[in-house]
Amino acid sequence: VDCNKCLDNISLYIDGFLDEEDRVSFENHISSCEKCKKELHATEILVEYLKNIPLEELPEGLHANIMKGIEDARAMRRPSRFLYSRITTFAASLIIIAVVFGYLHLLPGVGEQAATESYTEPIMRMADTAGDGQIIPFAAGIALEDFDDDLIYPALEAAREYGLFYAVEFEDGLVAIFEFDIEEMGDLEIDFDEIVVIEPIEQVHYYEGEDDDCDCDEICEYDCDCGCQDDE
Amino acid sequence: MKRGDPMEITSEQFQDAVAGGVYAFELIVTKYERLVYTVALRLLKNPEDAKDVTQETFIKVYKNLDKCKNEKMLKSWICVIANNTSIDSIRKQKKQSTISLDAQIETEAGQFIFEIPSDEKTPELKLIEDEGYGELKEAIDKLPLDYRNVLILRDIHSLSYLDVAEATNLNIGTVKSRLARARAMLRKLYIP
Repeated sequence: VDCNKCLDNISLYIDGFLDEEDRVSFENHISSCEKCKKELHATEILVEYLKNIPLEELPEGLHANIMKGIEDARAMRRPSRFLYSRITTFAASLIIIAVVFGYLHLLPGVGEQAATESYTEPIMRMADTAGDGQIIPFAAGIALEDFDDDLIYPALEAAREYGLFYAVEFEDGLVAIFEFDIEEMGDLEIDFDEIVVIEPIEQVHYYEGEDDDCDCDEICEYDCDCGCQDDE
Repeated sequence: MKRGDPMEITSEQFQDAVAGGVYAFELIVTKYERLVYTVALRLLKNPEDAKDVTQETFIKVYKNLDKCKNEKMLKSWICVIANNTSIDSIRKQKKQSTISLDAQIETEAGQFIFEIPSDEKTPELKLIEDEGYGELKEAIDKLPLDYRNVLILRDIHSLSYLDVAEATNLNIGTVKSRLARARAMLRKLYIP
């Protein structure tokens, strides 16, 4: 092993990446070459120094700014614009539920399934389904994800006709129901990739008989010119 | 205290943070904010940019925490995000900057890369940096970005070679050679 080869291998030697044969050759050279020995020693000290560099002190106010950014990001994940008053909304939700259940008998299948339930049962069921802060979209009082294939279409029809509704459970166990007008969804400040609502919206598009060439986003039928609205 | 290590994140706290709990997430921020800021500052060489990248990093962490396998992977996972966010920021700056020919540095392969000239450091910052490591930090800052990047992740933040390879999108062989080259360059710039 010459000095150049030895110097090339110093880093690998320090990290234990030389194979047995190279390691022995390296150590033999080091034992007989003061220059390379000195370089190895200096590099070992350097690596040790690097490991011990203290972390930078955090600038004043940065922690608060980070947490403000997190709060903002969190707010974007939840329909905060609808959360001014949970109590008021909860009271309003009872009215919404009553209105929605008024339409149940119009829906084939859905009415049969839900007609026997009292008005409070869907709320309790959604409270069980929804996690903390999670949003469960539902139509006609039943979470969309609970519908099987036979029932998803009438449920989506109901959603389109009467609006989409969301149940949100808070940390204290209070459940609030919100209504989203499907026509206004494009204006909502919500990242739909982050919440479960994306699935029903995609399903709506699927049942429209979409154009294979259409590469617009999931709620295109309300915003784009791909012709999917013309298929109706 | 050698490195800021306020507390260990428990599995339960980690799961709370994954579920969106802000209190649990703040524990993660408290534990790793200096680490993230250090990665950003060493790569960007500008405190204001490093602050922005630190904030951006934690927002990415918050939004994608469910992609981190468990609390034991947090440090390297956050380190990788901090690294990538810093590199993205440098790329954006390069696109926007008028680049001085004086700032060119020739790489091992003979290509020219452009280093963003760093802002003048304030006397206060120099004082903070000068706890015996100021000269070493200045020497690190002089390394070309590709080498500085690997050295920071491996030698300063103790990521495994595999994690460094994933963070930098390089194969392990290239990581080894860049790290060896970075250490050799640093040896010429700084004598312990």
